[in-house]
Order: sequence, then C-alpha cells, then structure tokens
Amino acid sequence: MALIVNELYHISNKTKFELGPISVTVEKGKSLAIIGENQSGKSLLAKILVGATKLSGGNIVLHGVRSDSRERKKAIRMMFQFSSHTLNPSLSVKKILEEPLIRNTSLSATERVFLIEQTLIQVGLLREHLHFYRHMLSDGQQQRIALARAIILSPKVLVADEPFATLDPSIRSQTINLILKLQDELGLSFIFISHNLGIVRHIADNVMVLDKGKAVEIGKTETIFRWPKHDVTKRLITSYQSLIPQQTLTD
Amino acid sequence: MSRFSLYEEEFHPAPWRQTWHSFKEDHVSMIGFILFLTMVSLALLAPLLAPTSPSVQNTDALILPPSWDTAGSINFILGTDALGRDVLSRLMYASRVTFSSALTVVLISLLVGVTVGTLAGMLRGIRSSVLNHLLDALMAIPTLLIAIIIVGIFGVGLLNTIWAITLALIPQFIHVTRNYVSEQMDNDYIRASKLDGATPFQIFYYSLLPNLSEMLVVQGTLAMSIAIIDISALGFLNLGAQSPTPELGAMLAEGLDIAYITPWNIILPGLFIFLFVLAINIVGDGLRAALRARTSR
Repeated sequence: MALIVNELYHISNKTKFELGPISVTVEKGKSLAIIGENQSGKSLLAKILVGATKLSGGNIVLHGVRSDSRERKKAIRMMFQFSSHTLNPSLSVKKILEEPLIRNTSLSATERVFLIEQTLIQVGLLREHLHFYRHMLSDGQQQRIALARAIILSPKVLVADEPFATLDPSIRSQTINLILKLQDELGLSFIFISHNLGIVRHIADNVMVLDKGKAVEIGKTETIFRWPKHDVTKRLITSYQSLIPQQTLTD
Repeated sequence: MSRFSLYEEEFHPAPWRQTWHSFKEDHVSMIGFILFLTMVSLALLAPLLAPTSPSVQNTDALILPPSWDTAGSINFILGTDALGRDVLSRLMYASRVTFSSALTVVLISLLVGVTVGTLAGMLRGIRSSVLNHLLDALMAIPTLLIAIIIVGIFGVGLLNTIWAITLALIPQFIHVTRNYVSEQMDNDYIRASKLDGATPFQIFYYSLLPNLSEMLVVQGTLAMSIAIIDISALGFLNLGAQSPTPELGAMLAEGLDIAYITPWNIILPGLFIFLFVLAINIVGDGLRAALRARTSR
C-alpha cells in the first residue's frame, strides 16, 4: 500500500520549465520531505501530485491502482503554504469544511455537520469554531482549519507546500506534533516541502532533493544528512549545519 | 433585578453584521442613510402621504407660492405650479417615478453585468481580452451620451430611457465584476475549491458570490446615483418621461419657463434630485469605507 510515482514528467508551456522525470515511492504512514533551492520545481511537483496541474508524462499509482485525477483529488489532499489564503473570507468554517463533503460524498446535512465536528475536535479545535469566520481565527487556528479541510475526506496522502514556513516556533511545533499524531492515527502518508532542514530531519523518513526540476538525490533522511552525495545536497546540508556546529560532514 | 449573564456572551458577527457595525459608527454615513430612508419612504408612500393627486389642476390657485410665504396657502404646503397642481404631491410622485426607474435600471444592469463580467473574469486568453478591450472602449464614452444616442434611435419615452440607461450602465458592472473575479481567481481559496472538485459554476456560486455581493452593493449605490442623474437629465431634455407623468427632471424643465415668477418650481425638484444623489453617494461611500475596514484587518 503505497504511493508510487513513475517517471513523472511535466513541461510548462509558458516558461519551458522541465520537471522530472521523477520516480519515488512513499510507503503508507511514512513521510517524504522535498527540499531544494528556489525555482527547483518543488511547488509544481506538489501541485501535480494533488492534481491541480496536469502531468505531461508518467503516472501516479496509488495502492496499486493507477488513479485518474478525480479519484486522486479525493485520496491525495493538499495543504497550501498560506493557510489563511485558502479560507474564503466570507464563509464560515462550517461552510468551508462542508464544501469538500458536498462535492465528494453523498452524506446528508446532519451527517456532514457531525463529521465536521469530529474533524474539528481531531485537529484540536472546538465545535463552536463551526460558526467562526476567517478573521476571527488566529494563525494557528487557521492552519488547523486548513489541516481539517485536508483530512476531512480521509485521504491516503497529505501533500503540504511549506506548511510551517509562516508560523511562529511554538505554533510550528504544535502543528508538527498534530500532523505526526494524525499520521499515526490515520495512517497518512505525508509529503511536504520545507526549507527548514531541522524539521525535515526531525519528522521525515525519506528526503528527495530537487534541483532545476530533477530529483538529484532520494534516500533515507539520516543517510542524506550524514553522507550527502550531490553538490546541491551538500550545499543545503552545510548551510543548515553552519547554524548548528556540533556535527561535521563525514566523507 | 437586572438580568445578567454569568458567562461572557459569545458573539460572532457575520461579515455582513460587521460591515453594518462599522458603518453605524460613522455618523456622516448614518445621517446619509437616514436621509436616504426618508427620501425613499416619501417616494414609496406617495399614494398614502400625498395631499392630492399629482394631476389635479386647481384653476383657482395658479402659481401659488409655498405656505410660509404671505401669499401662500396652507392647503398647498409647497405651492402650486403654472397649471395649479400641488407641488408637494407632484414631487412625491415624481421621486417615485425617478427612484423606481433608477432602481429598475440598476437591478437589470447589475444582473446582466455580473453574469457577463463573471464569464469574462473566469475565461482566460483571447476571448477575455477581446471582451475586455471592447468594454473599456465603451466605458470611455459618458453614460448620458450613450443614453441619448439610444433614445435617439428608439424614440423618446420613460421606458426607452430605462432601456437606454440600462444598456449604458452594463459595461461598468461588467468591468468591475470582471476585474474583481479575475483577481480572485488566482487566490488560493479558489484553487482549494477546485481541488475539492468544484465546477466553474459552483466556484462562482459558492466561493465568489459571497465575496462579490458586498462589492456589488457599493457599485450598485454608485450606479444608482448615476441612474437618477441620467433619468432626470433625459427628462429635463424632454427625451424621457413625457408631460403628464410627474418626473423630477421633467418637472424641472416645466418650471424653467416661468422660473423668474415661480422659482420654487425649479428649486424644489432640483433639491430633491440633489438630496437623492447626495444621500445615495454618502451611503455608498460609507459602505465602501466599512467594507475596507473589515477586509483590511
């Protein structure tokens, strides 16, 4: 039971940016971190995985089934970088969380509200937050709503584009712990993009390093952090370690 | 014993409520709003409130000055015109005609404008750009000029005026809606809706319309003041409502012939048009400020 990406390839019409071919496997309940410099195609890869952007070649196989884009949208859910932007300012939390249910399930109105309440509690919010609007929620709460929206359809894979970048340290650790907890409970595979290599080392099982649209290195987190092979990886790791000098690279 | 609540009451104002709260705090907008309500109720309740019918001619009381003048009569509070018709009643019926036609104009052009504007905003590429440039060219011409041309083609009359001004106002609504929609389409919450599997119509209805409605109220009030001015201007030019129909602009034109003898016959309709437009503009401005205060937080 795993998400397998086969020779995924994308070429953008406008910028002629080429991504891939990328092949990677994410086991159930495992985390994959995607790191790389700016303009390396990380966000594009995330968008392709969730089906927001079409791929030009290759395929994505989920649980042994090559899934079409509609199925995939249900099973692979996304968290955006700025969670506050993903919440419609004129809709209450209830309506925001109801939308994926209306579009993808045949639940009745009461069942939907029940499920939304359950999900809110799961992400550490209260039932009362149903009636809140975006501007009444703090950054951390908005992040939780975004997370609730991502997990409400019980997806198999959660893709997050720099989910922690805009949060302050305490909320960041709260969110990380929450995601780790949910990953444990729901058996989610978690694919995330991050610039914070400390977090990557802390929670990722595997790491993929992207450079100019190519996956230059894929491997176990510890292996990559201890024995980086590619120049880009070395550069990223060195700059990270210059902040915490207790460990040196071993060749 | 006074009632008290043990727990601090939780109050979650909806975006609309919040807009209303900050609108209420601005006294000028509130005065404008009260003025607007007064004018509208005067117009709507004309059959109940007006002392006489607007077309009754009192041959024994021609060009009577308002009641506070020594020559005036209490029977005709704001005097009479050259045909002996009660000016107050005529004013009330005239604002009714002017206001309701302006409202019709705004509602129709809003409906059409939003539909086309949304389509234009959600489309990409050459279709959108052709539509956009065409409309921008149209918007460079003043609405009154377009309206006069249309009336020139269709002939004079109140109904033709309404059509003409509707057609002239539609590009403005399209423009505003198109800009707003195409700006919002790049937002993450639209992208998230798309990932939820929403069709373009569902995106419009479920995600865009709640945000759009407030912007439309503001744009609607602006269009309303334009419509009132244009309708009375066409009435004044004798292109709109024809003689027996009381209409503010037409009344102004009728009073012009004997303006030196009966200045109140042009001052009062002019004042009514002025108050209507002023009230609507103040309300529109207040709404815009309130909306900005809400969304910029």
